[in-house]
Amino acid sequence: MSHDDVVGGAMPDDLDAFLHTLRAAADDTPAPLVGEALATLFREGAAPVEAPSRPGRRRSIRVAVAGAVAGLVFGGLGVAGALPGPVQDRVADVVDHVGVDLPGGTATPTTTTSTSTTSTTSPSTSTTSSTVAPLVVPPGHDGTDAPGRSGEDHGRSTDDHGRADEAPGRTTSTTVEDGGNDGRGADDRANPAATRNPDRGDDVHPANEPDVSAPDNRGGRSECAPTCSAP
Amino acid sequence: MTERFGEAFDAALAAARAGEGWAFERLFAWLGRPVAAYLRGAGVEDPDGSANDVFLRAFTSLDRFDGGEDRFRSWVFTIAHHLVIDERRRAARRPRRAPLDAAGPDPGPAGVDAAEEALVSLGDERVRALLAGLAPDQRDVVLLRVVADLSIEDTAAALGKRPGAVKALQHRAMRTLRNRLGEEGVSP
Repeated sequence: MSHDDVVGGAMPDDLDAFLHTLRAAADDTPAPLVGEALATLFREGAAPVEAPSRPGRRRSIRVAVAGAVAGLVFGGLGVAGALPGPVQDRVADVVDHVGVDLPGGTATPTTTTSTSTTSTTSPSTSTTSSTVAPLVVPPGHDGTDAPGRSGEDHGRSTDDHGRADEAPGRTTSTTVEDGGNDGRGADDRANPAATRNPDRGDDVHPANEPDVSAPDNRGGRSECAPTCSAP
Repeated sequence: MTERFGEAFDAALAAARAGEGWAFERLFAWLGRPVAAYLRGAGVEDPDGSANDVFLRAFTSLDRFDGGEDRFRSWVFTIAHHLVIDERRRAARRPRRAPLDAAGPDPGPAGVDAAEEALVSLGDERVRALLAGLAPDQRDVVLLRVVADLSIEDTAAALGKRPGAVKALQHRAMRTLRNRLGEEGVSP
């Protein structure tokens, strides 16, 4: 560093002499005595340390920011029901596990089928369905999760077809039982045998069976809607 | 003026990070003298002991340092400056000791005595008196710029100020020194 750097231009001789003396005094300063701790460090060394890794820090920050943005975008679109159908179904299914109901991807085909189902099963349910339309829930559902369920059902159409083949009567029992149940019916679907338990009032009504099995074929609603929805 | 470490700096720093004792010794030999001079000029009571503390702090914090030779020098003086700040705070809290029968003039604010004593080791009475007449932050700038040979930017980093503020402090310090020298009419 030149003197001009310090004083910013022409410098009086006195100031020049002062800075020169100050610098000379610093140069003449004796080296500091080495204390015991430093001497030990010089003699024995120390444990190795890592140099700070900036790229790693930056990468983790980028990942965190990307995650936050993705969460906001998917969350916002999910709440608005504006995600593409399968994605909306998936998001609704995931957040449903934590008690958050989001609209499903598509629900229109469900309406027709469900309406026919409910009308054949229970007048009271049918009334409810008609008021809730177009997002009509199957009988036994309490209606609070109707939007989410309708989307979920679309996503599970293939699986539910298979289950329907295994237990044709379970849907009916679900309908009947769920009329006075909590409406979830998940346990019953998971356990077809339970649906035929007479002690629980799961008797299959012959008149209901043809109509109800297909609609409760949950995911199959959209595929069989034209036939199932026929009066 | 602080000499440059040279091309071997990166190797020495890597060896220090690996815990090699010789690397610590080399780095201390390089910067020990200017750090002690800065501490003396800043009025630290025990410049040698404080210099040891500065390097112990630096050597045990190498995992947090990132940069080259200039950056390392600035970083070490930043640690030294923080130690000076701690020392001034301790001195400000410390009660002044004076004999009960002392009837002399007021010695001034606490901490000035220590600074006066320490500046004696700079070797020149005039320089000591002129430095002691500066405000602490102006003195810090002059010492870091002249004794530690830091740039405006490095000085600003060491003091935790903006470069513009450092330039202003330096300008005021030079004006104060020029006025003092003009009033006395004597070369230092």
